[in-house]
Amino acid sequence: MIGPRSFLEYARYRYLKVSLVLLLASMAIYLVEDPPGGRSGSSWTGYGLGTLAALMIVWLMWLGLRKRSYRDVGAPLQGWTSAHVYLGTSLLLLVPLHCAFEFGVNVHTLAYALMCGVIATGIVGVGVYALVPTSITRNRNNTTLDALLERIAEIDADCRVAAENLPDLHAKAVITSIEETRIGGSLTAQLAGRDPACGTTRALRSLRGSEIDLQGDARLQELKLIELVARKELLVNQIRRDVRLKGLLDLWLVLHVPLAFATVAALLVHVFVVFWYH
Amino acid sequence: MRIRIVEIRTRTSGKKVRLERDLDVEALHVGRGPDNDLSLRGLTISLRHATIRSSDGRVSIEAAAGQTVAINGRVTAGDRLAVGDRIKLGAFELRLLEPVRGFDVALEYEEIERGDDERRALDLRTKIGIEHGIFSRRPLSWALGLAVLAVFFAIPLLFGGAQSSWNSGDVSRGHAYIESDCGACHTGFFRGVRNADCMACHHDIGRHAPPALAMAELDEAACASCHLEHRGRDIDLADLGSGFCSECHADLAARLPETTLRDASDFGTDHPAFKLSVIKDPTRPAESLDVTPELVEETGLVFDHLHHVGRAVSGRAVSGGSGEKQYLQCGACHQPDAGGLYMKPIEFERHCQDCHRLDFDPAVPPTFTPHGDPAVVRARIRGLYSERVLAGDVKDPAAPPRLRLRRPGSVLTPEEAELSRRWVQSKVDAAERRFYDRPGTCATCHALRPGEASDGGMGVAPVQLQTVWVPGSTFSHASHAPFACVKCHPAAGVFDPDPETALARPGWSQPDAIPYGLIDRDGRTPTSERSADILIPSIETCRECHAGAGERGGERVPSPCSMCHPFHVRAHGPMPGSPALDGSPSGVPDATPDAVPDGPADRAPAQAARFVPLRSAS
Ligand code: HEM
Ligand code: HEM
Repeated sequence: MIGPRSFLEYARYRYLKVSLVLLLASMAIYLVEDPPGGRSGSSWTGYGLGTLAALMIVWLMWLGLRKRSYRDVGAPLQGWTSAHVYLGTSLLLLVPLHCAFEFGVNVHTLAYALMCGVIATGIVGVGVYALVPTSITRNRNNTTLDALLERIAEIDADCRVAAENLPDLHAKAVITSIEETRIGGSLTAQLAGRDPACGTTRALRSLRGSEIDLQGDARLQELKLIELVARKELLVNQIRRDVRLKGLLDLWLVLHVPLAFATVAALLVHVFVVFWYH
Repeated sequence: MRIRIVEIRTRTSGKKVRLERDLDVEALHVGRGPDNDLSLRGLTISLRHATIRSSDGRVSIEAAAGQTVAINGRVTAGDRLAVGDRIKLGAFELRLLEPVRGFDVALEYEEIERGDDERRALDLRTKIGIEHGIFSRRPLSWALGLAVLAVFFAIPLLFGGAQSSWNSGDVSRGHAYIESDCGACHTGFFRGVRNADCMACHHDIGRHAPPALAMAELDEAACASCHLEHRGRDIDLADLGSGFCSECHADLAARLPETTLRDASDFGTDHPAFKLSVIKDPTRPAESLDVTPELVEETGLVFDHLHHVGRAVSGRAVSGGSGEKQYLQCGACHQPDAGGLYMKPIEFERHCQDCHRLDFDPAVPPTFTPHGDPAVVRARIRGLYSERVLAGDVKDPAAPPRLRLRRPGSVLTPEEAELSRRWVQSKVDAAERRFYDRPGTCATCHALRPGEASDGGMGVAPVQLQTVWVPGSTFSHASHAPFACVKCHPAAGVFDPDPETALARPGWSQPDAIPYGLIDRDGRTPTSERSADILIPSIETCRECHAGAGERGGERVPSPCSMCHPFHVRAHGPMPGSPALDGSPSGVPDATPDAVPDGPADRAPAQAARFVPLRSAS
C-alpha cells in the first residue's frame, strides 16, 4: 500500500507538470488551427489529439496492469502511479479538444463517457487512498485480521465449555452466538460495517436479560460466559469495521478497471467507425 | 430395569473401541447435566433431555417438556422404540440393540458429528472481500467490454440498420432525407466519401477556376475536405467563412500572375470597388470596367429617368389594363425575373408601347406595327395598303377614284398597278414621317441613320441594353425587397411633382419620405437626365448595410465571401470526378439559368440578341 501524498508529490510534481504542458500545448494547437469547415475530430489537429489520447489510454492500461507485477516494490511504483493519475486526469480535457467539444448520442461519445467514468472512479480511488489506510491501521490496532479471527474462535470454544453445565437458555445463547454470527457477506453487508441481527449481540442480550437465579458455581460460570460473549462482540465489530474499510478501498477499483476495459472496447469501435467512414 | 450401555469411541488413530457399562435404574435419564444416567456433551442437548423406560419388554422414550428427539429421522416428543431404532440427540446417535440375557434393554451410542474446530467453522461463516461472482474485476471487465463490442459493433455490423449509434452527428438539413442510409454517401469500406459519391447527385457542380489555370489543388480536392458533414442539422455546408477564400485571394496577384482578379480578403475592409459589365459599343459585348464618376454607358438608346419616373400615365404596365391614371414607378418597367435575382429585360411591347404608341393611321391599331427593324416595319405597312387595293377596300378619300371604285377580286390593269404603287408609297411615306417627326415615336429614343436599313431606307442606330451588371456576384433583388429601389439607385428616383392630376403620389417620391435624402434638388444626387448615366450603386452603398464576415455584434450584416460569390462556377465546367464527364446523361435537367457567366469575354447578356445591329446582321 502506498500513500497518495507520496505519489501525488512524486519527483516534485513531475507528472503534474508534464500533464499541464501537454494540455497547454494541445489547447494552443487547437486554438491556432482554423481548418475549412471548422474544427472537428477529423481535422489534422483532431486526428493528432485523438491519436495522442488513444495512445495515452493504452499506456495507462498498461501502466495499471504492469503495476501488479511490481506490487509493493516501493519507489518505482510511485512514479508509475503518479504518471497514471496525472496523465489520466488530463484526458478529461484532451478528448474534448480532439472532438472540438462535439458530443452526441453515439458510440463515440460513449467512449468519452466511459472514460469519464474511469477517471471519476480513479479520483475517488486517490481520495480513498488518502483517507482509508490510516483508518484501517488505527482500527486494527497492531493486530492482523487473522489474529482477530483466531481469538474469536478461541472465545467460541471457551463459551461452549462455560455453558456446559448451565441452563438451556445459556446453552442456546452460546449456540446463537456461534452459529448466527456472520462476518462480511454481501456487498452491502460488508460496506455497512455492522449487523443489527448479529447472533453475538442477540446472545449477549438474552444472557444479560436472563431471569434464572443461579447460585454459587453456576452463577460464577454465568458471569464468565457473559464476559466472554461481550468480548466477542467487540472483536466482531472491530472486524466488521475492517471489512468495511477494505471494501471501500477496493470498491472503486472494481469499477475503475472494468470501465477502463469498456472504454477500450468503445474506443476500438470508435476508431474502426471513423476510419471506415472517414 | 437392567440396562447395558455400550459407548463406541473413535480413537485419534481412527480405531473404534467399545466401552460397556451396566446399570440398574428405574428409568434411564439422558441429558447434558452430570446428574443424568447417560450424560452427553453438547450445548444443543438439554440438561435433562429425555427418559428411556422399559415395562413388559416394551421400550419407550419420552423427551422432557419443550424438547424433542429424532427417531429414525422423525422428530417427536416421545414414542415406543423397537430394536434397531436410531435416536438422534445433539451430536450423538443412540441405537437400540437386542438385549442379551439378563438385561431388559441394550443401548449403544456414538458421537457421529465430530464437533468442528471452531476456527474452521468461523471461516465458513465469514465472507470478506467485495469481489464475488460477476462483481469482480476480471469477469466485470470481460462482461462490460464484450457488451460494448456486441451492442455497438457486432450487432450494427451484422444486422445493419442499428448503425445510428455510429452516426457522429446529425447531417445537414439538405441531406437529412438520406441520413439513415449510410451507404448513400459512404459507398465503400475504408475509403471515405469520394467526390464521385457526392457527384452522383451534385453532378453539375462547377470548377472554381477555368481549367486553363490548372488549379488542381482546388479542382481536384476532396469535396469532404471542405464540406464537413455530421456537424448538425443547421450547419451550412457551403459556409466556410471568409478565411478560406482569403487564403488565396488576399494576395492572388502574387500567387497567380495571369489573374485579372484583384486581391480581396474582407468585404468590409479589403475589397476592391466593383467592376461593372458596361456596354461601351452596342455592337460589341460589354466590357468589365472600374466604377469611376466619369463612367458612362453607350447603349445606343436615348432614355432618361427624369422624364419617366413620377409621370402620371395610364396604360397596361401601370394600371393593369384598367386605363386608370397612375404615377409611373420603378416597377412599371423593372420587374424581377422568376428567381428574383435580376430584373427582366426591358421590352418595348411590354414596357414602352402603352405610352409610345406606334400608330400611323386612325384605321389601324397601334399594335399592328412591329417594333424593330425599320425595313420590316416598312414592308409590313406596304403590305397592309397593297392588300386593301387588291381587296377593293380603299376608303381613303385622297386615293385615286379608280382605286376606290375597283371591284374586289379582279386583276389589276397595268394602269391601276401604277396608281396603286404610288398611292401605297405615299401612305408608307406618311407613316414614316409620322414615326420620325412626331415626339414620342422612333426618333425620340433612337438615333436615325438614313440609308442604313437593310432595304436601303431609313435605319436606326444599334441598341444593346445591360441586365446583369455584376456578373461575378449572385446579387438577389428579392432578398433586398423590403427596401425602396431609390435606397440603392438614388438617381433613378424623382422629386418632381407632376401638377397634371390630383393622384396620390407614391410614398417614395414624396419629399418627406425620401430615404436618406438621396434624391434631392439641392444638388446631391439629382435624378438622372442622361441615357449614359449608370445607376448601379457602388460598394460604399452596399457597405452601409454589409460588414465583413468577421464583424460580430454590430448593426450591419456580417457578410462572408460566399454571400455573393459562389465557389463552384458552373461556367468553368464540372469538377473532375463528375459523372457528367463520362458522357453519361446527367439525368437531372438543369433548371437554374446560369447566372454567373465566365469572365468578361463570355458575357453575352440576353438583351443583346434582341437588337441585332441592322447592317452587320447580313
Ligand atoms: C486513434 C485515435 C482516434 C482517432 C483517429 C479519432 C478520430 C475521430 C474523428 C475522425 C472524429 C470526427 C468524427 C466526426 O465528427 O464525423 C472523432 C470524433 C470524436 N472522438 Fe475520436 N478519435 C480517436 C480517439 C478518440 C478517443 C481516445 C476518444 C475518447 C475516449 C475519442 C472521442 C471522440 C468523440 C467523443 C468524438 C465526437 C463524436 C461526435 O461528434 O459526437 N476519440 N474522432
Ligand atoms: C482513461 C484513463 C485511465 C485508465 C484507462 C486507467 C486504467 C487503470 C487500470 C487498468 C488499472 C489497473 C488496476 C489493477 O488491476 O490493479 C488502474 C489502476 C489505478 N488507477 Fe487508473 N486508469 C485511468 C485513469 C486514472 C485516473 C484519472 C486516476 C486518478 C485520478 C487513476 C487512478 C488509479 C490508481 C490509483 C490505480 C491503482 C490501483 C491499485 O493498484 O490499487 N486512474 N487504472
